[in-house]
Amino acid sequence: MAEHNAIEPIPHDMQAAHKAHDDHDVTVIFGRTFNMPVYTAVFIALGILTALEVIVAEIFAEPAIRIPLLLGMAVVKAGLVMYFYMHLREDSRIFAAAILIPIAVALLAALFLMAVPSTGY
Amino acid sequence: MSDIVLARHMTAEQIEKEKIRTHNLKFATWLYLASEVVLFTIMLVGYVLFRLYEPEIVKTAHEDLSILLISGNTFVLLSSSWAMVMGLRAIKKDDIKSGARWLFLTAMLGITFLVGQYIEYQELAHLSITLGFDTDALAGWGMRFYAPTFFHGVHVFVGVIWALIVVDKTRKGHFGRNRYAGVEVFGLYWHFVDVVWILLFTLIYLV
Repeated sequence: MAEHNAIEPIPHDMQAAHKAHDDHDVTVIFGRTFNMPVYTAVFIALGILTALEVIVAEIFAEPAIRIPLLLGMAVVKAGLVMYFYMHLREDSRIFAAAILIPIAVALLAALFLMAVPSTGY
Repeated sequence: MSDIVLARHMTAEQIEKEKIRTHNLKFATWLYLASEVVLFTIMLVGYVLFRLYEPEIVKTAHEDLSILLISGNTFVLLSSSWAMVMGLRAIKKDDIKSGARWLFLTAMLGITFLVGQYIEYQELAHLSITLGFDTDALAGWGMRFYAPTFFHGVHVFVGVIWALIVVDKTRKGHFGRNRYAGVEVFGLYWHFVDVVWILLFTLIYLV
């Protein structure tokens, strides 16, 4: 009983593996190494993309250019958050499937609704 | 054995059990978030269809929106997501004090976002943009604008309360290098709220 409840220190190899997994103190982008965690690099990218979105929305009046650009940047931003901050890049693929399948179905339904004329068929 | 002791001193067997528990909790959270996708999609599609059929009304409404305020608010929410993930990173490294600080910052940034949204609603109310459907054309836009943004705001509010609970539990030593499922699950929720805002910001304010 006493043996079963004994508190044992974590083996060193497990500690090392855990540390290696969590340590992202440097970020490599296109071969260049930056002294910051990958999470900070993603945050900077998100900030830049947000500023670009506002600039694009102000500069381009033509919807044919503005809308695809804005939607593209929004998808990239959402993808960055899900891939890095929500850990989809390292977690089980079933997590990705659990969220991507409903998103795909919702997108299809939305496209179908948008294809229906406002006056109906 | 209390959670606090478990968080700091775990046997190899307990660590394995905790890994399985974390995996299951995360999967359950992803399934919950999938149901949220459906809810937000309904509101977003409602807005997009209005945008397609009534472009002139949306153009008029956009002139009343303060892009500067909303852009700032968007940056605040993105910052909160960064603070959240940095908090989790610190806890995974057993830096509990730093983790609690990052998570507290997350909650504060969430509150800042809500204050910004309140200011925005005040401004729109002064411009007579209301929830009504039939009073005038702009009111039709109002309902489609307030429904998704307010629903999102409620999620931020719930997230702030949840963040403060996680901060309290972190300070009390419930989480550590081998036990952080509670923090990670909250993080998934908070980042999802951020993702939803990224889409709302683009579709409602910019497009």
